[in-house]
Amino acid sequence: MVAEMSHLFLANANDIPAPADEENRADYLTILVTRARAGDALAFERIMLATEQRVVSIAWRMLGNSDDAQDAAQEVYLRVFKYLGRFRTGEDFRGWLYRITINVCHDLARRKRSVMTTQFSEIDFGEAHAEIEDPGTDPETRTLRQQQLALVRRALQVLSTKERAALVLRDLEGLSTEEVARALGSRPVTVRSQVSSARAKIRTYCERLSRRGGHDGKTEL
Amino acid sequence: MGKLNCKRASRNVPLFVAGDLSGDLNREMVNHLAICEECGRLAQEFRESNSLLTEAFALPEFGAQFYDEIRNNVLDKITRDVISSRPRFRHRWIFASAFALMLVASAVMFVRWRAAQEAPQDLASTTQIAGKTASNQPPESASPLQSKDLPRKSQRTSISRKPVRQTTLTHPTSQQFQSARNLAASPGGLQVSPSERASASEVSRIEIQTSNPNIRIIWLVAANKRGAPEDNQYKGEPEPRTNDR
Repeated sequence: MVAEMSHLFLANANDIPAPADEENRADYLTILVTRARAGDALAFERIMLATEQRVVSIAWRMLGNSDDAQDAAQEVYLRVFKYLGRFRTGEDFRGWLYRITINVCHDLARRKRSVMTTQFSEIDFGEAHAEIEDPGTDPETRTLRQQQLALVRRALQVLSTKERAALVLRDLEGLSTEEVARALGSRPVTVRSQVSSARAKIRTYCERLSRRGGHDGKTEL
Repeated sequence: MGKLNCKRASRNVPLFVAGDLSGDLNREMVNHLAICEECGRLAQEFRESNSLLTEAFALPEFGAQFYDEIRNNVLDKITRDVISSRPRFRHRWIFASAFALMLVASAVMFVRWRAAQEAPQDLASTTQIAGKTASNQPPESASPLQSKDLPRKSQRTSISRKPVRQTTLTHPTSQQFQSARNLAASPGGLQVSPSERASASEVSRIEIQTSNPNIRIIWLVAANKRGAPEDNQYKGEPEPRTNDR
């Protein structure tokens, strides 16, 4: 079965039409997962197409680096392929996928802990600069804004892994508290507490740094 | 629910600004922030930091090539894993075949061993029949179930090849005893040749087959020993003697 899948992967999959509206996305994903579990390689490729943007987004926000995000996304789908048989029918596939993504990001971050902060500060600031540059604003205002954004990014990196994951999924990915709880395997009240604590820490961090001039990246929360 | 104070309101501000509160608590927060300048300023700071957070982590445009690389790498890795796992699958069949062959060989060896075990048992039965005269025991008494009590194969083979001598008990007369004593008493008179010694032992050999087929009592009594004290008679296989002093 697996050997057949490897050949099918190379084929261009067009027999499963993607849903046009958002409402049918969950049903569409459920069908794909069912077919992928039955050995349909085409369905697995469709799953990747349907979810890769969100997976990359979470990984980039957790790791702060596009190369690491790409590595993480690959590892996520390899794990999904490996453990798809263990996925229980009726369970929330997206929650399961996000949980795998968070776990992969934790593993990668642990592996690259010594260099992660440096990479985030240097590479991703450059990526973000291209996004926020506005020719209409004066250079001084633009520089000040960039410093503030840099502070926020540093603040996220000094949060605990659980708080960071909760904040990324809740505030940046826009998931509901219940969805975040399912993805992290905890209770909604716990997620609410973690998110609240993370927001407060980020505000405090930014406030302290802005008082000091915004150049100290090692402030304790 | 009581009136919300500043301490409790400040604790709930992070949740309130992101819309995580609902019901009465949310309504009380709205009312409190409308009248409390300090808490209102705090809420505004949270809104700004949340806005900064969203802006700082705005997803950059990765492009189609970025996602294509992810998909292709994943599919390549899966394909490689499948190919690398094939030889292991073949090895499994080799191991299974080898195991089956070993099983068959073991079965054949067991059957042959059982057949070899059955054959000497028949020979042992023949030996028992030969000893019937002396023991008066029917050979049928040794049931096949007792085959495990039999001696080893080599021992049984030697028994079966050993010529069985049928014993005939003769009762020597007093004259024969006297002549034998005279012969022994005379100096140099007791010159017994090996053949004579053998013939003397032939006469006094008594074999008794017990109910246990492994136990056979062989009683050797020299011809000139007859009438000797009883304590010598029950030694398993006493040395044949030609004279008695």
